[in-house]
Amino acid sequence: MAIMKLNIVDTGYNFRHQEVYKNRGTEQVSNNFLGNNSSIYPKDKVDITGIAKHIMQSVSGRQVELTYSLYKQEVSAEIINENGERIAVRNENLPNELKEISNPEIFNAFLKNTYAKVSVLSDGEYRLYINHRMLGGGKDDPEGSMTPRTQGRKEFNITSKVKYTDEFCKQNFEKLSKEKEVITKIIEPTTFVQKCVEETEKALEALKIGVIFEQVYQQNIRKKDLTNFVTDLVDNKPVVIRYGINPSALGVVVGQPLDKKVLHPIEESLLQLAVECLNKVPNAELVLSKESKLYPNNVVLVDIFVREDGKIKQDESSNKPETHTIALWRKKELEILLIDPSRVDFSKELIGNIKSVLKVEVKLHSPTGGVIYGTGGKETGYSELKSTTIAEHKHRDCVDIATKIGFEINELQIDENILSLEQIERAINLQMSNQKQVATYLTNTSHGQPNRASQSTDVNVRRDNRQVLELMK
Amino acid sequence: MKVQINQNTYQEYQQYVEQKLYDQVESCIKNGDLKELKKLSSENEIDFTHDSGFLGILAAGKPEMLRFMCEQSPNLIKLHGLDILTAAIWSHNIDSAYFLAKESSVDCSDLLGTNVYDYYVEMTGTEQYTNHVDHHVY
Repeated sequence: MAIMKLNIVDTGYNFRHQEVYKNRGTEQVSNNFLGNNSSIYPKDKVDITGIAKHIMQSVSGRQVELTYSLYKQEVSAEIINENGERIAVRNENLPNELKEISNPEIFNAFLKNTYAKVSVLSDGEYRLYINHRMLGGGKDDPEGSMTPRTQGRKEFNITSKVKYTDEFCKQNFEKLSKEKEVITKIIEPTTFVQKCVEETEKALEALKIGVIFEQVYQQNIRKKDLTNFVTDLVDNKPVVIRYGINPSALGVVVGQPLDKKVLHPIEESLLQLAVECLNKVPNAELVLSKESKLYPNNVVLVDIFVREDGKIKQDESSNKPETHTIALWRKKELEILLIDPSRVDFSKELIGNIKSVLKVEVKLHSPTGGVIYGTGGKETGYSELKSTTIAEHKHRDCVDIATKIGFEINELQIDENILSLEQIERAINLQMSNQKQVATYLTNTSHGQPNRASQSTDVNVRRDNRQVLELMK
Repeated sequence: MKVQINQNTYQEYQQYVEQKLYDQVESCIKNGDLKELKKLSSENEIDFTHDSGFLGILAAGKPEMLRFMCEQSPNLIKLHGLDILTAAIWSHNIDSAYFLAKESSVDCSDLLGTNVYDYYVEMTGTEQYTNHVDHHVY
């Protein structure tokens, strides 16, 4: 049976490196240190270039050479000045993470995507800092870290495709226009009234744009890339489409009765658009059987309203309705898998209604504990999620996680090591989750931290991060 | 030198000792060291429902260990049986899944309509769910 790449720490990779150790490392250790004192190497080092040695450029332009000693089982560092002079960094001035490294595989994996900072202490000694671009720091664009929120192109002029939303816009536009007229003519213009008028104007503007939208996300696309996004839409990156609710136009629905088992007409409209989209793409079972190399793009996202006490919930920070995003994956010809990026409970009750709209079997993805990605603590509310930096340990929102799930499913479907649908579902759990119940390797490494790199836009960052975490467990 | 230990310090110490114990328990489960786990269990009072059933989830792929833990803390199945069963299915452990669903009668009805239930049926050869009773065809 083929090895599933994501469920283990790339066995092939480790094996190849162990072979190199045998040829170049272990023999040298045994010959030079353990049995024979006439070593040609300095006593505290084993020269296995490219494996236990890592040279990086510090932000101030100095070269830093890190060496893992098989003999001492520890890392040492030297600063190489412009004139080639080497200055050893004292062990106590090394970052703690380096001191904890106990084998060369961890050494290599840990130093992927890192950069160094060197500072001179008052006693003239050097202190070394290693920052991991994946786990914090390493900002590479103006909007934040290497793991920013996924950006996508939004199109609002799709309402005409759906009769209900078109009529809804017209009706509510007229209603709000009249209300605005009444408010401005009759009531004395206090600050509160002025604020109401402004908000009504904003809602009217939003209604002109539309209550629903289509947003296209493509892997590795950032805000700065969106200008040329249309021309960049190529086959070599997975695409995820979201059918979304525009909350700015929907203040009017806040507090309206809506049972947790019943779909709102706007949600139905979005699901109809989603099923139209899914009907045009191949199902995953077919993709696996044909060993296709093209991304099937058979995951779409759909927004739903958040219900609370039988009503549409108001977003805490605005007078708009709170929305949630779910992913629908065309798994088989007549079966769609609903994946809730957060809690299964958020969308579980809607399954029956969704089935009747989509007219196919809809199954629910169920990770252990019922949560793929959870936010922790009151300081990590969804309102704080936009364009956050990982250094502040903010969590991602449901849209962002659902998008990454879509990318991951696309990547896995054309991965030659993936032989079954179940492998894909299992890998989503392990790859995307920040819950230790789902990905038990997180036990010793995350301590409840969001672990944002596991949900990076870049598939390589996601997988590298996973390898590091697996090795550190 | 006399050190005065106040109530808070003592509580912190107790928490520290407890945390150390559960770290050891977790380590035994991860390493599959049932002998050591039994030893720890005989020397200490261990509640295997600790950490919202996470210890049971960790043991989902180790049926013998899971059995021992359930014997020691019968509430583990009662409170967290479904989560542990889900973990057993995702980890492809047929023995654990059988032990939980058949021997310990974990109610699978909450899993109906999920992909996990389909894999449970596929993995164990169980017929589709009918009135809380699964029929295994081993």
